[in-house]
Amino acid sequence: MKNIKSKYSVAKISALVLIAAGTTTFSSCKKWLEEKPQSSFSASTFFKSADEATMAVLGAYEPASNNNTYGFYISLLYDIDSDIGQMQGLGFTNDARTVAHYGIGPSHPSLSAVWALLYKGVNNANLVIEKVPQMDLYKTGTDADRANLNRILGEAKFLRGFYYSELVRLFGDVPFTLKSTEASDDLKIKQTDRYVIYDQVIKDLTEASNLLPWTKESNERVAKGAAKALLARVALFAGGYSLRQSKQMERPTNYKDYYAIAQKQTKEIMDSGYHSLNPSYEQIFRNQCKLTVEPKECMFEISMYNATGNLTNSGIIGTWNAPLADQGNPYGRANSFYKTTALFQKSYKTGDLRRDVAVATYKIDVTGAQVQLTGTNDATWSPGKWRRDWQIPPAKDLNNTDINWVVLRYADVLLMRAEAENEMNEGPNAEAYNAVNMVRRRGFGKPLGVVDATVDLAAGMNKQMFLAALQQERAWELCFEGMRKADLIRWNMLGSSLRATEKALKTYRSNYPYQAGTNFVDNKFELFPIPQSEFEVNPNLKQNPNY
Amino acid sequence: MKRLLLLLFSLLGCATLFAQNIGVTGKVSSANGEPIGGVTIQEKGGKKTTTTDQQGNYSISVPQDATLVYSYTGHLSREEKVKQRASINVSLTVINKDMEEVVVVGYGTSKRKELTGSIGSVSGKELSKIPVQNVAQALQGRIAGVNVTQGDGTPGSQPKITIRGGGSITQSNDPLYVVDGVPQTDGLAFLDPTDVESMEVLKDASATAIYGARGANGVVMVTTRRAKAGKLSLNYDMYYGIKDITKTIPMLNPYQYTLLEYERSMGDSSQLANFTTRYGNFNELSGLYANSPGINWQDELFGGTANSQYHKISVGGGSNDTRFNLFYSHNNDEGIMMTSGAKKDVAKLTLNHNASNKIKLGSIINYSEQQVFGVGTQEGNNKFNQLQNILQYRPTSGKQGSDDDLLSSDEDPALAGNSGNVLQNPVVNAESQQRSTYTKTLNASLSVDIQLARNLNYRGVAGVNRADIKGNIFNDSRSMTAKRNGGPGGSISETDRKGWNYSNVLNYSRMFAGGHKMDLLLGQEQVYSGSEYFSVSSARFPATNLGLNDISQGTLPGIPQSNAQDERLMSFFARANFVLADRYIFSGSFRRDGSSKFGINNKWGNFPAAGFAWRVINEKFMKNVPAISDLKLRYSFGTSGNNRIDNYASLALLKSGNYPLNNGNAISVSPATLANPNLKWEKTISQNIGMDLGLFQQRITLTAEVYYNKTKDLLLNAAVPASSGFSTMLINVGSTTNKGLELTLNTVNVKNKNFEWNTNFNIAFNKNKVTALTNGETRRYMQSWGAGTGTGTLSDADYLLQVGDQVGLMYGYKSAGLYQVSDFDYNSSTNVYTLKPNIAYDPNLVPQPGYMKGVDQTGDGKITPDDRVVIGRANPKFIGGLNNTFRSHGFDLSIFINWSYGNEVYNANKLYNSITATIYPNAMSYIANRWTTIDNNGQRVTDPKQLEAMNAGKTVPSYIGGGTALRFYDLYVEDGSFLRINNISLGYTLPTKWISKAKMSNARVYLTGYNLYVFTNYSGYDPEVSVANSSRLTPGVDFGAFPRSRSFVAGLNVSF
Repeated sequence: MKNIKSKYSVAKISALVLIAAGTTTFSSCKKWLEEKPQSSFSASTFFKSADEATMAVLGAYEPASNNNTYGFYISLLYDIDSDIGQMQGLGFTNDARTVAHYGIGPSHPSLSAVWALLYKGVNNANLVIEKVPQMDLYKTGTDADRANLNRILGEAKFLRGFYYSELVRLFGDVPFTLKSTEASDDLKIKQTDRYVIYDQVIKDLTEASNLLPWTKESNERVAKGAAKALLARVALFAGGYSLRQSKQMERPTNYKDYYAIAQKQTKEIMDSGYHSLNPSYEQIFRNQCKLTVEPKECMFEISMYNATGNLTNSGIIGTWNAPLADQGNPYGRANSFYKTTALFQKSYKTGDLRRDVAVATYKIDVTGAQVQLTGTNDATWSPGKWRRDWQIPPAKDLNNTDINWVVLRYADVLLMRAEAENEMNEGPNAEAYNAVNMVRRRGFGKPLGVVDATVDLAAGMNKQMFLAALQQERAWELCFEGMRKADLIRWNMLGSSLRATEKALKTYRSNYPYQAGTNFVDNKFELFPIPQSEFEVNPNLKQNPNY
Repeated sequence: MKRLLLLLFSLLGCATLFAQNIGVTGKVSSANGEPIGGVTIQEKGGKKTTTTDQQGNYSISVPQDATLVYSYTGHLSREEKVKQRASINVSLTVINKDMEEVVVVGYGTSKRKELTGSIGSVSGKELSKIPVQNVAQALQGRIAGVNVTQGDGTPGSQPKITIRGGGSITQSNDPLYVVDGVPQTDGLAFLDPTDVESMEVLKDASATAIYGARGANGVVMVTTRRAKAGKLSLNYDMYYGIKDITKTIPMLNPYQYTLLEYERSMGDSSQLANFTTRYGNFNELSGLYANSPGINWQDELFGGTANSQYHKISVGGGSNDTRFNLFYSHNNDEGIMMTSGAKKDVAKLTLNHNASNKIKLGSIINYSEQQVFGVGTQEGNNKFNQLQNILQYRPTSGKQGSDDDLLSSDEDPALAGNSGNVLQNPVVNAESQQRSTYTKTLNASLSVDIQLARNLNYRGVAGVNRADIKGNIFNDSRSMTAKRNGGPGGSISETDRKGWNYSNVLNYSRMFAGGHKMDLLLGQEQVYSGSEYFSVSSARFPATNLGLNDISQGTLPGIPQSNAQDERLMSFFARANFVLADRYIFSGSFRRDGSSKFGINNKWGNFPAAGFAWRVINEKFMKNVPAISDLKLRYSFGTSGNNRIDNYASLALLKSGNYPLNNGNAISVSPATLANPNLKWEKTISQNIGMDLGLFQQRITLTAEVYYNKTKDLLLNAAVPASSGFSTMLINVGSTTNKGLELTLNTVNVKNKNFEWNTNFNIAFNKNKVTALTNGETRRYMQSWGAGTGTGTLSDADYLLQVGDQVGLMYGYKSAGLYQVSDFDYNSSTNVYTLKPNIAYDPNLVPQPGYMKGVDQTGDGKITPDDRVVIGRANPKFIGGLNNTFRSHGFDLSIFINWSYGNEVYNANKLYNSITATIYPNAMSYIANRWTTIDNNGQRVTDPKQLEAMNAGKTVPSYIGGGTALRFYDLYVEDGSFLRINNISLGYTLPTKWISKAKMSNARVYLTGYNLYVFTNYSGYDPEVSVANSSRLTPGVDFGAFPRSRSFVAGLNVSF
């Protein structure tokens, strides 16, 4: 028995040791099992300093700096086919052509990518708008701290307004929330009427323009002018036509209220003196190609740059929408698919310097020489604003460039001013003429402030004539800059314009490759479909008409 | 835990109640001196009975003239007359070895006969016959229900082990690997394949639940070779082998190729002019090319023979109390593709020391270095894929140069000026892209065994592991990448892993008279593993450069990257086994796991299991059935988990990004994941019914098992409305089931002094079914190899996950043959064919005669993505293996075959190479028999009758008839069933009298053929393939897979 007892005690001791080991680990195990992420920040402890708030607001910009948004899809692909631009190659033989030539359906992969990134932008902005006012620094910091945080808050409101306005422009009525998402939220939210969203966008952009300073550092972060200009643009869209759930193109009865906003905002920008036209139209795009930020003319641009030429934070602006450039040439390859039409190039008036900037009638061969595209090759003339031979050599990548996407230029503000004045006054007043003529004079290389009968619009136009002239002027001035299709929709003339273009091109040459007029279905393609993938997870959505 | 300890103590107390008496005492041992516990000792004709304890000791009080009968399962009974002796030691002889087989189980060992769960095992001897670098590969076909597949033949590629079908959908189905009691995170690649003593695979919950949240995918237990006592011995093992490719994909020969090029060029006058300059007029083609061998690029790349060699030198020995073994091995395995291969060096030291007869220490230190190099065939997606480059590069240079010129020039002049070109001379392509991965691992463990009391043992195991994985990528100036991107470039990345773990286990084991036995186990374990990663890259090196040895030469540096992460696991567990009357076995186990990876609301999980077995053979009524030597029925039930979730997946994280202000990096942060505080392990509830049957003194043994595994709380990256700002959220939803039947049959066909023939056969049937996805979701679509946009990509999803069907559904179009001339109205004045009404067509591709026709499932008259249906299933209906071993006069021969039946393979190589519309690429040889509009004189035929006659019976669409967009038709799904002659190995052990003169104690020479032949209908390289992505969701894709080789090795083992 003694023997057994001693064994018993050995067991007991060791068991006690184990228990002791177990309990010590047990007491600390809660802590031991706690996860501390090492290579990411924890959301619960962020927003302590101004630097952190800055990083978070840059996070709200970032979804725009992507091939799936302004590096390719929204900026280039979603703006064609139109009366001035189209994708090369007939048929729906790849995803991009399916979009361009009006064959898109809800399952198209670009849709979910665009949708997801725009909403990611909304959510990232919502987080900043929520968190910044809760920061200690915001409540108790110095005036300088507060001013800095207010600017950040203004940027976030600007961006939320921007993303929602783009969602509405592309998809019509969409889900709408002003709160950053948590897992416990009901994520299956219904669509909100676009005019409810527009009201909020206008509110956000107005608040943003109040919070943001006029001047800005010379980088791509937005300032007051951008907020006002975007507000003017959004107002024109809200006051224009769009495809409604009634399956008709409609504009609101109070549309002039929106034009009044555009009139006011554009006037304030012009009166501020902070923005002006670059005297040289060509220089604007040479600057863009050289990656030079020029905030006087270019009021809001999406920053694109990748140190190694990879796709992240980059796009294909300047290759996909540039003249063809053979592989191995000194400027870098451009596998070009964005084409203009021969007739658009020919529509420029003699002396208009914008023509040869806007349209390249050549390709670049392997030696870097320009080879004119003649004969039936005029169908492959392409946008020239971001040509490879203006870019900084050597090209980092065959496709991706560092060229920013400029969302809004001062020239657009002037043309919007003219359009708003024309609408509000039921015809062009002196301000309207002045605004459009400044754009024209610059285009023809004339002094901006000098009346010049050879280039100025003819006096005495009525409202309709002036609007038609503006519609043409916007094409000449702003072609390939992402808004042509959207403009035609708000004027309710996309379908008719495509059909007229097709007819004119076939008259020009019977086998001219252009099919958008035939493919376009009225009261359908004025909006993109809600992505199918979104329906599969949110049964409360309603598809856009005729999809 | 305290309660469990109390239970243990009360049992200890109860054990002391069995008091001893004076009488006969003694020890029962086996023929080799090992004590045997549980031997029944009975007074012949009397009532007295007892059993031996674990040390083989017994005591019994009997009359002095009594006779004692010693009986023990699997051993010959023995009788001893007491004859007044107070001490009788006896030894028992084994009838058959496998009755006494000891198998490794979680945190201990068990006799096979006492198991209630399902455990398969295979000896290292069998595995070491196969000349592979990773021992897991040798496990293929050896154990029922253990599906070992190698994605393809890439050197150094890791085999994938799936046990009983695997329950997870999106997470890993890899089993837990435990080597010598130490859990491993990175598989078994670090082991020398010849260093394995045995491998056990724990299959059902009764066996795996002791591993809790890591056990649901089964557990592979590896026991490496021990240090053996004895005088110092020196062993040398080596083999030398050669390998070659077993099969190539037939491509068009030069003449057929020029005909295709001619047809492709015909529509365009400038292209036709180019063609004529390059290849000659149509009527010259036959003369110029019909007898030209051309260039077979597959032969150029894979055609040679590759060598492999293996050397291992080991020393070992020592006393019973202190013994050691040290070995070093080197394996150099060239790949059959030029520049590819793998090397592996392993050094291992094993030390054992018995500090006293109660305290035993063991230590294992294993260091390995592996190198894998070569660009392989899988690199590059879609049109950039290396194998496609090899297949599509043209087979002849035509009239403008000799084929030798084409073979030696970096670029094909025919491709100059093609701004979208991605093809390059495949030889240059392989030479100019350096790829290598260096993996260094160090595993060290220490174990301590202490006998605390007569029946109570403590075992502690502590291990540390380090792994350093370095990846080098460099594309030199001749590479396509350098040419496209303005110069050479490369990157270096390194992952540094570190981990430790320890476990403490108390084991109480006790035998009782009457065949009762009790085993109790109580333990605790902690596991930590962490990793750090960094990478640097640079591009635009000068043409002459030092590569990655001086990365500063790159003039366009990339952004360096790094990250760090770690995970922690803490566990408590207990197990009890009771054997009653040597017939009824009850076992139960329980584990509680806490893991850092689980959400805050689910930090701890409980994993119970129970099992029951009835050893029918020990029932009295079985004594009358002499033919049956063993019979056991088993049932088990239990729960285990799969915790392979990414770290930090449950947290709300802000990830850093970049908004590139002023053309520089400006760091941004944004929410990356939606926090899920409820995130937890996937839970598998498994049931297993088994029967072990032995016949004719175990000459025939059969194990049959049926199981039903239900996996719940599957982790799905569930799609959430993207309007939330997030696309997915990792949640526990969905469930799957796996049902199956496994049979293992081992027979000793012939056994006598001069000849022995054994057969091992196993077969396993598994049926996998998805029973639920996220709320209300019944289908989910996936893309495998072709995802992307633009040319050379597959824009439609090609896999489907569907509730009610298995994982791995191939999803595409059914083909309805070709559009025939009769489907069209022909306008003879314009030569235009117009499709007749009511014939379905793809609105994106106006069909012509000879075009591919799909089945219009929806009946809307159009072929659209809505017409896709399930066209293939990737999972096999059954798999298995058959091994025959023969031994005679020093010779040993084994022939091993394995098979898989009923699995389908998605031949994406064929799909990709069936789009022949664009000029230049070569095509598979079956394209030669395509529908054509060109007559024998090279003239275009438009007349309906003539066209019909020319193309009678053709099933391959015209060169443009597949369209220009890739589309997944059922034509590209093939039967992947196979029967592989896995290996044949013939060995000869030299007679001792010959070798003793050379002071050798043992010498064996052998010849092994590996992967000798595959019987299959599959048209690609090998039907055992799955390469598209590592996810479970898209299995069985053959796109760019590395061809497998056949190898022959000759080897030698000598011991001094």
